[in-house]
Amino acid sequence: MIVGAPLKFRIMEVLEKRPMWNYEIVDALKDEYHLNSSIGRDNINYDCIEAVSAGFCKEIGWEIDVDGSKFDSKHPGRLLTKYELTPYGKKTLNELKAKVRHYTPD
Amino acid sequence: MDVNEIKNNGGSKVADTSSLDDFIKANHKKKFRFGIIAALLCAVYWGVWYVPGYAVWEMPDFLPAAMVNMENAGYGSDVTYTMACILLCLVNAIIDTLILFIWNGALGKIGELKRTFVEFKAANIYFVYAGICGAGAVFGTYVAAQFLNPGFAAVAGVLYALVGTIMSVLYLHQKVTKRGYIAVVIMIVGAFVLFAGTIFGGAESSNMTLGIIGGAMCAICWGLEGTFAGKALDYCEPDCGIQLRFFWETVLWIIVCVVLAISGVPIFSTMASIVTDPYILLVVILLGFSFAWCYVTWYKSFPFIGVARGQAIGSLYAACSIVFMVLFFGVDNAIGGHDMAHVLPTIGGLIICLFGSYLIATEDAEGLVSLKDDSVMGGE
Repeated sequence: MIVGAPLKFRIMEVLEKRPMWNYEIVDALKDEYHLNSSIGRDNINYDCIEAVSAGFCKEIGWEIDVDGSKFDSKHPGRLLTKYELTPYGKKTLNELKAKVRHYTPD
Repeated sequence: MDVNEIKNNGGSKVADTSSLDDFIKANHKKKFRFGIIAALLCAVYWGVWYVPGYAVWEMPDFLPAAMVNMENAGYGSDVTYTMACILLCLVNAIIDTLILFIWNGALGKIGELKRTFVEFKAANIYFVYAGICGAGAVFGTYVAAQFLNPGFAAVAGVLYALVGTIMSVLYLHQKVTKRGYIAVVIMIVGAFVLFAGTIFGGAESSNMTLGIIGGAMCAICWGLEGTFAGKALDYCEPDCGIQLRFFWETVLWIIVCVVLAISGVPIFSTMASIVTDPYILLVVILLGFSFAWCYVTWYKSFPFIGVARGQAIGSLYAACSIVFMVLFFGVDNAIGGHDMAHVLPTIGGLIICLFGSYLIATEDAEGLVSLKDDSVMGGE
């Protein structure tokens, strides 16, 4: 596991195990990165979007959070997205694991 | 999923569509639009930056006084101008670093900033490169503006979009559509037309070679900076990234200035006037705010629309700078004269630039969910 590295590194790492919805990624990382507020949640979501534009992940599923129970209770109706790590993302992640200061294989 | 159903459930800001597919498309379009708006704001802030950027040269107790001190110490006028450009670059970098640190603190990103900083090999190194390139670009702008004219500096700067586009395709493997290429070329042509009156209307230069070198530095370094930033932003947050880029630029200029000071150049002789003279302080703060915000919006646009589009729209700064310089310094100072030979190219250039940005802003966002070329996405 990569420890103490920028958020995007860990987003790629959690997606390496299995494809995940954005709210699952938020749940997996919010405590580790002290991002428990709504701003923190949006930060993680924003980084997921950027990881897609960088080509590390791709969107493989969509759903609408009709009642806001999964992602944002104050703003129901937001689009939920499921992400999967791309082969390019996997290759990049392996390179990052070799470069970061703290990495221990699971 | 019906949109009315979402609205009945209290949904806000939902797209005016009737299926999940349309909702997804609208969402992608929204992200693309966010990137376009960020790049447009970058152009506005960048254009505004030229106002304090030139006004600061008119503050007698700061740069002019430093140049007098350096001339008294036996340095020639070309050297003192170049030293003054270095001093201004240092001040610009320090104030930007401070403002962006407050900005990151307000966003609660100090933790992420620290994590990005300590991961030197994996992340921070790209910002060292971006900082060095950015330093070269800002320095080049001032040198070109001083030794040729502000118009030439602005046009030379616009060429960065061409360098950035080529590098984003070759190095970052980002997608650029035919429409994107055409828009980049149109905007560069627009910038040339925009400043045609100033450039050909009599560029009196004390050292034309230095001016041209400055212009080339400006275009190449800004293009390269965008490329390194684009690479770094794949791994890091934009807000933390800009902070680190300015931090490294500050470090570089401190080293340069300290070496010059040790060599006997009185480069720091008027630094105190920044804090003792409220007018100079105000201009320096305005310089920092406009430049820092220009960079915040520039870096924010890259992940959403790509380096080529972000830089192309950002190059509208040339048009914005003309507008702001006309507003603050008057027509004669901004474009070199108020006769038709100066005014017509300016208006023509503005229209061409706007047409170029229209082409990019109305590009289909559908294929741009990922900015990477499909051949790269396949992996090994």
